[in-house]
Amino acid sequence: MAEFSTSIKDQGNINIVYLKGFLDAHTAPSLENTFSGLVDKGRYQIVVNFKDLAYISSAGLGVFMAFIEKIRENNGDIKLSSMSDKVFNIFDLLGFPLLYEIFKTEEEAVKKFNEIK
Amino acid sequence: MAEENYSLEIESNPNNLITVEEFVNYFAKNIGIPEARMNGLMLSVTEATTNAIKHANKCDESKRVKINVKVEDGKVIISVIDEGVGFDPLKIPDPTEPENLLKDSGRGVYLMKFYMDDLKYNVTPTGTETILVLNLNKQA
Repeated sequence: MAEFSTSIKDQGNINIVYLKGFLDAHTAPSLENTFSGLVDKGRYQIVVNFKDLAYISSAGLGVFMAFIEKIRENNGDIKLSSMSDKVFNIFDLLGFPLLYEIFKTEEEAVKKFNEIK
Repeated sequence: MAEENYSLEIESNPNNLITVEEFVNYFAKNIGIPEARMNGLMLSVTEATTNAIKHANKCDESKRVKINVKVEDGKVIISVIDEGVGFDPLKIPDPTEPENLLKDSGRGVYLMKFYMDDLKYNVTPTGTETILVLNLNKQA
């Protein structure tokens, strides 16, 4: 356990980031690197797919907070999708639905970006 | 129940959270903690340990974090002991207040309070003990 990995799929201007495994204080730097890489390339439209994320701690949640302001300043957004109930409950408990759009499916999140164009 | 007491001691490096996660799985299985409470337990122990490693011991590997677990009167009592200078829990902001949503502090303590049946601190001259209590008779 405690393994974590990310993978990225480009879909036009939108980048879909897939999370897998355990996102905690040990593995959070890996997600920071992924977001930094996207921001450095000017890729500000991001969908994060949580389907294979088993666990998230507050250090993992903090990564989303660290990047959201810069991304929104550049007319982008991070939209979240496909969370298990277990992971969604933690986001919900901490008030994240006020800050982030959370979708049932990746397709709905992508569609929302395309509607804005 | 094979054992009533469990303990783990780690250096203050976030890489050691893997060991802590394995430790939680090990004692939870032995004690028979219900599956419905496992996520909250894992989250609470790793949040307390992360605070101890990062905020109290400042990731100084010469400082240790000790985790002691005991079962007593139907309760699992988990102590996470650091070597830091301590803090005032009353000064931790509520992370769910709109003005604090983007701030990075307070989320771990908030989660521990939510998932555990009791959360206490014992500040001593040599460090802080964070005490998590899970009542085995209570449903999630």
